Amino acid sequence: MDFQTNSLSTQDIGQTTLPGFDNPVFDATVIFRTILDAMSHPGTVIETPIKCESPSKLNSSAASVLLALADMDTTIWLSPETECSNVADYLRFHTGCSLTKNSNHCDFAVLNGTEGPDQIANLPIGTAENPDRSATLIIAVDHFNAEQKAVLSGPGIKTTSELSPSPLNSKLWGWMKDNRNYFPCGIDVIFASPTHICALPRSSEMDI
Amino acid sequence: MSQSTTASSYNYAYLDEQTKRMIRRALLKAVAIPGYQVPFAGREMPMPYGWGTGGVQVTATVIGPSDTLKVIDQGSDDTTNAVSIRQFFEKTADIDTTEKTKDATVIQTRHRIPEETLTEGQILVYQVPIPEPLRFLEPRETETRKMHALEEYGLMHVKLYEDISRHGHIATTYAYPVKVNGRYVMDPSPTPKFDNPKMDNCAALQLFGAGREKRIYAIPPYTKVQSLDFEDHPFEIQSWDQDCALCGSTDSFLDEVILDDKGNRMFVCSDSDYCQSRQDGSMPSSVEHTLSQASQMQSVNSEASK
Repeated sequence: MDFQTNSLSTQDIGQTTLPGFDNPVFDATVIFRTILDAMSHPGTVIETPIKCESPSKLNSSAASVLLALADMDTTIWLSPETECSNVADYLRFHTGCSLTKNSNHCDFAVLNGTEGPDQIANLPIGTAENPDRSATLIIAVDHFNAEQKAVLSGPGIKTTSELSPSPLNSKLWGWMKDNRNYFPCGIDVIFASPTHICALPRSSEMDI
Repeated sequence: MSQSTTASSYNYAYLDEQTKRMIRRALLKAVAIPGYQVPFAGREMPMPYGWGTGGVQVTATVIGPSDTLKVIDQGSDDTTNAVSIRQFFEKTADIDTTEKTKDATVIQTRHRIPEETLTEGQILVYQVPIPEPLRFLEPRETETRKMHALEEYGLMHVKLYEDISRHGHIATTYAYPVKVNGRYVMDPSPTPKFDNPKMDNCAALQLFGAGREKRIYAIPPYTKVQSLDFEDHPFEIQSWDQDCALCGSTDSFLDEVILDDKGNRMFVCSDSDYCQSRQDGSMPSSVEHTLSQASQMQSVNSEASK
């Protein structure tokens, strides 16, 4: 792990008036089980069992995923669209994570679905010997009823499943398709709408 | 459920929250890269290495108060390891436990996969002693890591070939190597090769924890798991000349039980819940059972008791 200095100072622990999980132990467990379920059933849209108050640029599901998985051992990168002091303070206060401006040195990355793939071109994808040293990308969307759908197959999928997050920058479809080609390296994506999550691990084959 | 109802000096399910988050992140990576061994910072657990510290850490990280836990050791719910791990979670996680495979949401296992077909939503947690299938062929971790990266699995096929040249057949009977989703060769833990076909396209999520070696790996549901073999020496599972002496099962994994010092022995199901439910007549609908087998079981049973 590289420790980098950046403008989002790690010394600042952050202040927020927004509460985190009501019960940090059990809420984190059910959120993790939801993510595990989503990751082992790519394309399946699963209701987020807990609603937490979150800054406006980070929806409730995306916030709860980060509250469940991030801590002082992890570094989070926020995209230009999601980066603001409210989100930074919220994450630092509740998780103790550090934030970075360098997208190539992060464990978690947060993107808004409207943003293009240029922002995430440098996320770490792991190495051939250590493909787990890659970033997990959380993409905030509004819902999963988009016109455009991708058909998924592969591990975790009985026959096929559909992925239809919205709104989604049209260039991200191509990025997701490319991402599969790096396997076993690559980025695992968690789509988060305010009420549901849906995962696209690097192992899924995708037909658009 | 409040934490005060559990052993009060510990966090829920024994592990502290930061450790759980670290293991959770490793588990998600493991699910995303089926068959790849993710290193994790394994903790010391209140039991010796070799008793399932990896499986216990995975279970402790996954379970919540609404889960029902089943623990088996060599298929049995009643052996020391299974009983003590079950009690450990009753005490630290205040959790419901069961011996019924179909009622469990999380099943921790040492060296067997239940006979009853696992269903979607269930999680099977394996205790793994040596996660690296190539370890006895290549002792250096730096090398085995490179071999996995390059998909260089020729050495494993040579090993199986040497079995054939020496014994006339592949003599590996447990920890039989598998290829997961056509990419990573994986050690299925020391389960008998009889159980390998159950891993293929399984509806349940399979998680593997190796505590001493500090590795976590996984097979997502509905994933292709192929036992390594050769065209002219296809993979085969064990079979027995006898049926289970207690329930008459013809298709389960049997343990040999020595009855006396005069050479008498009997064969019984290693899966205690499966055997018991067949004896009770409440066996799972997924399992075929005929009246003739039932009557056969009576006669074998009475012979065994003579």
